[in-house]
Formats: sequence, C-alpha cells, structure tokens
Amino acid sequence: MTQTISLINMKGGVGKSTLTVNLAWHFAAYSNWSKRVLVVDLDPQFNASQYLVGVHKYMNIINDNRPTIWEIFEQHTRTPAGKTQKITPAESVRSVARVRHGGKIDLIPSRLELSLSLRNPGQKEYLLQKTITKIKDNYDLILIDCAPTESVLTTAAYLASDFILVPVKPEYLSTIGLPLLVNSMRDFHEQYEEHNINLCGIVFNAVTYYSPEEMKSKNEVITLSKNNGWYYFRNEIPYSRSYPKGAREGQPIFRTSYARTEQALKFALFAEEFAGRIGI
Amino acid sequence: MNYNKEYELLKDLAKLLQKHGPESFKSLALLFSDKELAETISNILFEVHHHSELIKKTQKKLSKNKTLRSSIIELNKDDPERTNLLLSIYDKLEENKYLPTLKQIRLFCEDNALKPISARSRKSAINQFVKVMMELSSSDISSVKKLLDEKPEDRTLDGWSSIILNRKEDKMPNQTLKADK
Ligand SMILES: Nc1ncnc2c1ncn2[C@@H]1O[C@H](COP(=O)(O)OP(=O)(O)OP(=O)(O)O)[C@@H](O)[C@H]1O
Ligand SMILES: [Mg+2]
Repeated sequence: MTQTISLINMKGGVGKSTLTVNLAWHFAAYSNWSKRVLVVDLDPQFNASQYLVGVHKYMNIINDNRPTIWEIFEQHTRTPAGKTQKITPAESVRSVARVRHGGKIDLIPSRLELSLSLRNPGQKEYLLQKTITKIKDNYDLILIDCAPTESVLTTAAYLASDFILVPVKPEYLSTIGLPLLVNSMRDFHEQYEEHNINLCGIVFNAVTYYSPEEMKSKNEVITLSKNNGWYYFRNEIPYSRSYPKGAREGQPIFRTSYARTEQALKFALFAEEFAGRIGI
Repeated sequence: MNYNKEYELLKDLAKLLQKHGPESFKSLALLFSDKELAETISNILFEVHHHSELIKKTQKKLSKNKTLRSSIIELNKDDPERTNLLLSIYDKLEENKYLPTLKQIRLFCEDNALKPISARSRKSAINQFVKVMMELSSSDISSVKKLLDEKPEDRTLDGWSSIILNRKEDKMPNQTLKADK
C-alpha cells in the first residue's frame, strides 16, 4: 500500500526539504529498499525541485508545457477566454532517477507562481488529493515537502496525507512551532472530520549535542510529546555540513564522500525508524 | 542402475526448495500443468541461457588482451550503426567529454539502472562502462547516449537567479516562460 507523508512545520528552515529529498533517496536507492518514491514539491520556493534537479532540467520542466504543482492548483481557474484547463495528473510527474531493481524517484515540481494560487484559495484544497489518488498506485511512498506558512496548501497536504512528519530544530523558537502545528492539525480535524491524519512523529534535526540550550529545548519537546502522546524519533539527525553541500551537488547524504560515515549512518538509522512507523 | 545424476539434481532441487519455499514450488508445478505455458517458459529459459552464453563469449573475447576499441569493431562488424554508437561513447569518455570523474561514472550508472561500476580508477571504469553498453540492445545504447549528451547540470546561484528573475508576473496556468524570450 502506498503511504503518503507530508513534512510540515510552520517554522521555516527546520529541514523539511532536506529530509524530504534524503528520505526519497534513501528508500529509492539505499541498501535494498528499491522503493518507488514520488516527491511532491508543495512550496513556491521550490527548494525540493532545486535539490532534485539542476538548472537545465528545471528550465526544461517549466518550458515543456506539462503541468507543475501550480497548474494542479489552477486547473479550475478560468482563463480570459473562459476555458478551464483540466490536467492529466500523470503528466505532472517528472523522472529524477531510475535505480536498479525498480527503485525510482519522481517529482511533481513546483514553481514560484504557486504563490499566486494562494491569492484565490477557494475550493482548491481537494485538488492535490485528487491528483495523488490517480497516480498513487505507481508508488510505494509519496513525500510532500510543505511550505513553512499555513495556507490552503497546508490543508491540501493534510487532505492528501496518511501521516505528518515534523522536523524540529532543538532551538527555543523552533520548538514553539510545534504547538502551533498541533493547533493547526486540530483546526483541520474540526473542519474535515471525515479525514484522518496521523502524526507519524517529531524528529530532531541539526542536533549538535553540545549546547545546554539545545538539551533544554530537546527535553522540553520530549516532555511535551510524552504528555500529549506524540511520538518522537529516538534516532536524531546530527548537524552536518554535508547536508547543505549535498544539496548544492544534488546528492543525498549517503553519497557525499565528505560526510563522515557516521553522519550518513545516523540518517539511515532515522530512515529505518521512520519506515517502521509508517509500515513500509 | 546408477541414479547418480538424478540424485545430484534432487540435491540441487532441495537447495532451491529451501531458497524459494515449498509454496513457490507448488504454485510453479501448478503452472506447469498448463502445457502451452510450460513450453513458453522452457523457450524463455533457453533464450536466457543462449543470451548469457553470448555475453560470456563477448567477455571472453574482450579479455583476450585486445584493445576495447578493436573488440567493439570486431564484435559488431555486421552492424556499423551500433559500432559507431559504441565507439562514439567510448571516445567521448576517453576524451573526458562524458562523465569526467570516476564518481560521475558511478553515479550515472546508479541513477540509470545500469550495472554498478566497481572499478577504482576512471580508466578501468570506462572499460567496465563500455562493456556494460556492449551487452545492451542498440536502442538502449541510444537512450544512454542521449542522456550522456545532455548538458552537464548547472547548480550555480547564477543559473537559478536567471530562472527566478526572468519570470513574468501573473501568467495563467500552462503558459510557459518561452513567451518571455
Ligand atoms: N542536519 C543538518 N545539518 C546541517 N544543516 C542542515 C541540516 N538540515 C538542514 N540543514 C540546512 O538548513 C537549511 C534549511 O534546511 P531546509 O531548507 O531543508 O529547511 P526547510 O524546513 O525546508 O525550510 P523552509 O521552511 O524554508 O522550507 C538548509 O541550508 C539545509 O542545507
Ligand atoms: Mg523547504
């Protein structure tokens, strides 16, 4: 069964895009996973797209007349000529990597214009879910990289997902993003009662292990999680310069030779724990 | 009567039974009760065997101390188009026009579901890569060549800036940046 997971946190820069792309690579190409993974870039900043493809390929994407995530959200918008532009979901999917034994990474890319969609949010929240339903059989895992601000896109992500994965940096302001997020999930539950989303867990990202402030933030989050019955991942992701460097090169952590094996291994341990949580 | 051979076969089967589980054996036996299917499978097996023999032969020939270049020419003498395709890939690799580092050769194979490269130097990786190509169908080689011919990716800030800053405001869906130029 396909599992769809949104990486969400209303706090910016906590590692949503970094984890999305590294998880995609992990399950497509690391060890013997060979999973079919789809990454959905749901952020007008299009960081996940930038990470997964380079400038030339991205240029082709926005010029090839095939839909991106923007067109998916605008398919019911009337053009000046009075037409609506129904899209074929499969056409929005671009191939990023084909790995041996059937593993692959595909991408529904984003573009800056997606931010324009937010100006007219009416009735758009179901469009992503509808699109994904039509193509999900081609995948084992679908990862949605969300934008850091709450909008119709967040609702769309909730509606399309089985699970929410929440990266948190163990820093004071970043941890306050957590109750904000849970609040947003509650609001969602009230409005869309029929739809069930599960908090897959909270993962600490960019942990340095040496500041007392960091320890304090971490402990606070753990206590909060325990009190509310939220799962937090026992495997944390350490701070490593290899993450930004990998992004620049378009490579996952396990392929960056300068990542000390230990760091790549720690990510792999987290990914395995994640797999157990979502049942893949 | 001596049943040595049959005994050996049984021993092999027992090993396979352990590997694949009794359920797969039972369902396979059931499949074989369909005569037509049994025939198709045995034909496929024969083809696979034949193909792997061919590959072995190719590899043997290649290892006979000949240069890879002359082997490409010799093995494909009935198909000049294929020869050209392979030679052009080989030459461009040698001239550093394709995949200029060992790491790039490795990742290219990984990302395109080609046989993994184990070589530790770029030179032997090229040989390995071309040998992998020689086992592919001509149309597969063409598709690989198409990928190799793609411009090397640009991930510079400058590249992204030109995409981001050239965009036109308030376009309707499905219009593309082409109109900007
Ligand atoms: N474990 C880590 N160690 C070091 N740097 C990291 C780590 N995780 C992420 N980063 C870096 O932190 C920055 C922010 O990460 P990322 O873009 O993934 O966050 P985000 O949550 O997607 O941000 P946004 O909210 O803007 O979408 C990036 O430069 C990334 O390379
Ligand atoms: Mg991001």
